[in-house]
Amino acid sequence: MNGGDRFGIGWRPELAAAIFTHLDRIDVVEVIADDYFRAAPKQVRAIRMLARQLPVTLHGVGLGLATTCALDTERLDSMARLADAVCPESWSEHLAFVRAGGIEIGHLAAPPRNEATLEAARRNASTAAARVGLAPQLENVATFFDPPGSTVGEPEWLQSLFAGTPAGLLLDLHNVYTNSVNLGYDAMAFLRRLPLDRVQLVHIAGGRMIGEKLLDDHLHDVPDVVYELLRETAALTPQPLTVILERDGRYPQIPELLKQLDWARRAVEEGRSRIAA
Amino acid sequence: MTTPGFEAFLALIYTDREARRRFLADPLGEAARAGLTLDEAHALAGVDREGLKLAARSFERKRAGKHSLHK
Repeated sequence: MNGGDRFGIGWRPELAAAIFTHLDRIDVVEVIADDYFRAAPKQVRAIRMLARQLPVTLHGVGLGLATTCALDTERLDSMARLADAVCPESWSEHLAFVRAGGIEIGHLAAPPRNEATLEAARRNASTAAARVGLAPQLENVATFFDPPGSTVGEPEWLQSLFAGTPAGLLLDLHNVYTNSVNLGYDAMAFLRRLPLDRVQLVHIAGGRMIGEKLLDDHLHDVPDVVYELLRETAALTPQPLTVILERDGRYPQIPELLKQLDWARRAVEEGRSRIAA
Repeated sequence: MTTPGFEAFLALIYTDREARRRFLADPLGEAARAGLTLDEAHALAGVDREGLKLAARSFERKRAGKHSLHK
């Protein structure tokens, strides 16, 4: 294993006590930033105190940086203020659009992959980095269908994007798997075409099938295929990785989540051993 | 191809049941009435209809949920 590899979990109120009890097995936590944009000062102070005990990364879910529409500058300023208060080691947002024409979609919609959104995502990442004072980690998103208006594949779009921005790629492996199921391609082959040299953060999670489509709901255990993708990612990336387990509900007991973190450690260790071999 | 108007049209059919029903019944016509280009209209007409419906349901549940933007 690379000595810098770390393994953590998404900070959720339902898991807070258990996380504090098991800090010996949790290297880092990821905090949903948007939950604290309008929080009371004492709640923000609590996250700042948390960040003094172990590394914290802030995860934005409401900006949507892959849009040709104007960014929500109020939300971006909220992220900047929170980052200033908490001093996280990194922050992230999604390569999605979440609003347009005055309509709030309410979740992360995959952007049409073309020159216009490519240029817009680069510009938005630059704007976000300047406002927050730290380049964001940009996450690939899940989708049920190929976004209309796409002229290139996701690997090509991501390659072009990261060639033109200092931002890192937050690689969500369950999103890779989800899209491979929903769009009908080989996840492992897809993974190998991504700009893996830009990956520092990795998400793992689980979902469920709805008919022939896979929903990335974060309510289920991490499937084996995601550990296989993690193993391959570790084999292809010499740089240290921080792997975050995302769970948004139907929480199992903490030993079960820690077990999934252990499996992630093992997958990374096995991938690293392939580099060494 | 993508413009703010194109994204706005996507946002509309992702969130508005009636707009989505009209679009699925006449994709090219609805795109034209929204002022989109012919290229944009044809791109929309080829959308995975089942995927669109599933996504719209998922977005609706997220909007209704407490942690609406958690992914």
